[in-house]
Amino acid sequence: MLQVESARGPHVELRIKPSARLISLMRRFLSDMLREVLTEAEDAWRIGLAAHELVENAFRHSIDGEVDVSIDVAEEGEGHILTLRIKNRATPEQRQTLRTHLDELSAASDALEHYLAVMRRSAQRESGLGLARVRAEADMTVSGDFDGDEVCIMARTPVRLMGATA
Amino acid sequence: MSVVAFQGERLSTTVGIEGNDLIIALSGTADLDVRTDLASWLKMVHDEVLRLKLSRVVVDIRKLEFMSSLCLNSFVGWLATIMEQPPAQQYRVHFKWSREMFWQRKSLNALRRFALMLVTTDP
Repeated sequence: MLQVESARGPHVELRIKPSARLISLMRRFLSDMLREVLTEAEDAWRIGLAAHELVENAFRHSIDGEVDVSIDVAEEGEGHILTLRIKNRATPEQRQTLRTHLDELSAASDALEHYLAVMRRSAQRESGLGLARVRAEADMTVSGDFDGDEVCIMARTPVRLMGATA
Repeated sequence: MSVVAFQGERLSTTVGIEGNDLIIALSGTADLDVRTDLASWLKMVHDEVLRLKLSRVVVDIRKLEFMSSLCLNSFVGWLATIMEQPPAQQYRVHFKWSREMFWQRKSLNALRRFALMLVTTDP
C-alpha cells in the first residue's frame, strides 16, 4: 500500500515487506519527497536516515516481515512537527529488548554521549545502535507505543514547510 | 597483498597501497545485505595492515551513499580492535568524506569521538 497526500502537508503511508534493497529505495523516495516540501535539504536527509534505521530494525525484528511506515506533519505551537511512525509485530523478547533500549534513550540527557556509550558496547551484543543514531544523528526524539504484539516507534522533529507562515 | 576488494550488487570496494598507507574505498550502499561481508572484509584489512606493518588506513567513503547502523557497527568493531592492540601495533584511520552526503559528517563525528587517538577526517 502506498498513499501520498500533499494538500495538508506531507503525509505518506507505506505498508511493505521490506528487503534491504526496498529499504534503501524507501529512504531515497522519502528524502526526495521531503526535499520538495521542506525548506532545509538536511532535514530531508536526516528523516530519510531515521526511516532507514527504524524500518531496518523493524524488519529484522518483525514476526511476519511486514512493516508499516507513515509520515505526518502537524502544526504545533508556532511551527510544524514531523512524526515518523514505524509499526511492526514483534515477539515478547524483542518487545522487552526494545523497551529497554527506549528507556535508556529517554533517560540519557546527552544524545551524542549516549550514542558513544552504545557504540562502546555494540561490539559485544545487540545494542540499540540504530535508535541511538536516530536520536544523535537525525536529531529526532524517539518513543514507543506497545499494544499487544504490535510495536510502534515514533520519531519526531520540528521542520519548516515551504510556503508556511508559521 | 592478501586483502582483495569485493564487488557486491550494491556495495563495491577497492584496495591499494600508497607509501605506508593502505587505501580502501567504498561506494554504493552499506546496509543489511552486506553487514557480514563488510565485517569480514574489515577484519582482512586489519590483518593485512598488521602483516605489512603499515601506519595508516585511508578510507574513502565519498561515493558511499549511505551506511546503516548495522554496517557502522562493523567500523566501530574495527576501531575497537585497533584500540585493543599494543600501542606499537595501533595504526591511524583517516576518512575522506563528502559534504554532499549529510550522514557522513555526523557519523564520522561520532566515530572520531569514539576513537579519538586513531581517527582523522577530511574535509
